[in-house]
Amino acid sequence: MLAQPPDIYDYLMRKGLFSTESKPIRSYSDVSERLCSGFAVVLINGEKRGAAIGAQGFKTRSISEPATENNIKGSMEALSDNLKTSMSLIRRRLKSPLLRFETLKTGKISQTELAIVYISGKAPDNLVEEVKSRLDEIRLDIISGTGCLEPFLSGNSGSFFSGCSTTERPDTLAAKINEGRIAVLIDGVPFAVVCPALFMENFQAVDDYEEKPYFAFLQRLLRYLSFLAAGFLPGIYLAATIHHPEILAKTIMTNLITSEEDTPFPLMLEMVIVVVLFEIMREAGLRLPKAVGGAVSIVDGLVIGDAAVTSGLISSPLLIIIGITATCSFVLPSLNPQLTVLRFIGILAGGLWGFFGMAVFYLLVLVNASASDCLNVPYLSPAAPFTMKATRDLLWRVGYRKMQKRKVTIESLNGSGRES
Amino acid sequence: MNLSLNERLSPVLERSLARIRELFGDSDDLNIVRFEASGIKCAVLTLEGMTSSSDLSKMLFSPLMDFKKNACPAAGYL
Amino acid sequence: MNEKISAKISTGQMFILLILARIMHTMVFHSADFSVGTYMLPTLVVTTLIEAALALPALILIDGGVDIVRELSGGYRWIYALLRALYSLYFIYIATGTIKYIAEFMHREFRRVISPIAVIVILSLAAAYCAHLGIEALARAGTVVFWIFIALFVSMAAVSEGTFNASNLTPITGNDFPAILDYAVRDLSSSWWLPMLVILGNHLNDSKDGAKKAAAGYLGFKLLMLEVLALLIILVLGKFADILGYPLLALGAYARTVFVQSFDAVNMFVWCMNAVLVCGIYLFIASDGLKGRKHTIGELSAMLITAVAAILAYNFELDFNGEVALIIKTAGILLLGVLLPTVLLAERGIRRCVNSLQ
Repeated sequence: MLAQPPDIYDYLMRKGLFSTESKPIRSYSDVSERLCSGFAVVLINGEKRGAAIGAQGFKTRSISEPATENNIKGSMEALSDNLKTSMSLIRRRLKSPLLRFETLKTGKISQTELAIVYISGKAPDNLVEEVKSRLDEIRLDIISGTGCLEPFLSGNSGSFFSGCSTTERPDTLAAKINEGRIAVLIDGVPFAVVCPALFMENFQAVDDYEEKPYFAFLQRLLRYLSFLAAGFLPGIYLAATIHHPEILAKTIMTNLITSEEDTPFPLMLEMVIVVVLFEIMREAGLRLPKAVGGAVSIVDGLVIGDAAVTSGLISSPLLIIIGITATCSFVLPSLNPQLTVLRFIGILAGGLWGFFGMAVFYLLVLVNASASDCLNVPYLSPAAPFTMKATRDLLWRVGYRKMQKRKVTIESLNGSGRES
Repeated sequence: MNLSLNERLSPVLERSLARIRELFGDSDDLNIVRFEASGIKCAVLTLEGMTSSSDLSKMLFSPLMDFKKNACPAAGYL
Repeated sequence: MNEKISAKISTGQMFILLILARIMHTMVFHSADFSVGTYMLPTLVVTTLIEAALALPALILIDGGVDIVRELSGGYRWIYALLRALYSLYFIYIATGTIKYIAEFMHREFRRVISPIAVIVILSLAAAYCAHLGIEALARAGTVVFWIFIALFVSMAAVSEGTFNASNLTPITGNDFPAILDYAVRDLSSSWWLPMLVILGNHLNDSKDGAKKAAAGYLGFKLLMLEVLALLIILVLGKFADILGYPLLALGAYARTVFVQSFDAVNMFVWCMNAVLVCGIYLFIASDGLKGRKHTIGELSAMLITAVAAILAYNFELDFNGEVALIIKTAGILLLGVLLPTVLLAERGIRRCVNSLQ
């Protein structure tokens, strides 16, 4: 007996074992969707159903080292551009059936696949539903990166700080979702978006967990100090020298006065010039092709830096301040946009209105940060609202033995009605 | 293009293929391979670079070419 | 940032808001208007006890989950609007006074830095923005500012080079009686924490005895803080405090380190941060009462009224510590913080009696 078209279809879909994924095709939209995702579509004359067989073999970048989040002793794997590979990296670190992936497609033209990752039981259910509904609201054409998702996920539009964090490392991601957070992986982007984010997360690094807690305490203190220096040092310097010279000790004051007297520009203008120059250099270093990289350091260091001081156009204390500020800002790359803006506004506020301007400005930033919450978790927890149990990771790192006993979850960090 | 995407596939192979070519605008990365399995015309469509051709030939083409109605498909493959 | 009208703050945060308002008052309102002496110390204890007694009606009601103003208005919208407007006016008055005194402080101590009108405008705008962000944000930021205050006080005490002069502790005599009365009246007239507690009561979350704990914490901390400060001023500065503009600033002048020679500007920094926050609280309270169809109309009008009033007050040198001002402040406290809760308590008591008789 001759075979009939439905027999071939049955063979492909049911009786044969062709691939881990076989999907039926009924309409032309199915055809386009499956073809674009790398399936092979089989059409049979006389049968109005088609079969899509998974045989993906497109080339992707292999698993590489993290480009931005460096560390000394931790794992050297980073998330991959390919969603399935990233999912497998996470699954291999959390071999529990409680780990859940939920995929959905967004973007009218890009139809990018997103995967929501969470640990069932740790992430509050209403949070997962909330994340799903917020992602469903996106009506963009193309999802080009993590920046597209962050405004929709965090939901706080007037906030100065970002309500979601991004990470490139699967081990960091695993640790974060273990605390009850929810991550979103994007196909084509090796970064994951984790929400809700807290301010203190910017000061935690993987290496803190590799050494003893006292060392972690020291490192955290240094990072908090860097944050203060990077955002506020130029403003404080300007305010102290222009408006409140009585603050500084006599020797420091005479030093500063002699160096300022020789320069032609007023102090505030000098500071603005130097800060703008530094930002331009940093941007140039990012955009430049690697081959020309050496030329940038020569131009920056010798031509602008050294020559500016020896020619007397810019005073050296100012360059010291900027050097300290710049180095401190490199300690916290995740806060870089905020620190840059804080620096500029601090220069204006401090230069124009001294410590009064800075006081008002800092308080406004503090209140703005206090008001931001992503998914109803206050941004400044656990410092404000003060949750005693959750401060174990704020300044120091709690020992691993203690971590076994206590559980801190996002639910206990929730404010708005349950502040304690 | 007056092709509604929710339109069902046509049982006539040539019409389906023509519609799909119209849908993709005759884009050059669309590959269509025609063959006959047990006397019935079939076609396999792929997009260039998306599928692994060695996987395809092992998994799909060889078994299909040898397809007979009561043949056990898995024996030769696994 | 989600704007929640039903935002809830915790007991600790309520305590912090109240105490920050008091700290603000202590720093800036008392400036060379009174003389110091040993009599201050026992007077403080007495006034604190009086305040505790006065607070009882309000505390009973708030811990019972009652929104005092809403219940008093008994469903009549015009009564509610009237009562709310009273609170708004009172707190605009307080905010105007605070801003005016800050402008004066900046003018006296930091003349070259900024002009007083600019101070008033900037403070009003900043406070309005903070009020717009809501009471939760203010409370959380307040926690941070409170710890900054503690850190400032501890660090200044650690590097202070002032010496204690025990002979400054003159014994209390009968001649001190007018001064005692004066100080007691001043202290009582600056306890507008009572109206604040009443009006913010419905923002307190549902923990048991929350209002009582916040009030107890406030009174205890206020007593301790003022006693310590008074003791320090007497011991270190003695009679000089009578002529100094801001005794607390003078206390700070004794602190000296290698880097920072004078802590005046550092003090001013922290006080101004506190000022913006506290004025934000006042404007938040005030804007709730002036609400039009949209919440922002209330905030804008409160801000404008405060700014204009502060500028006028500064120009005409209105005294917020003089007799008229004392009467207004005390009247406000007694009416809004004590009388209204007592009336409501009496009303409920009568209703209960009537119900049980039937």
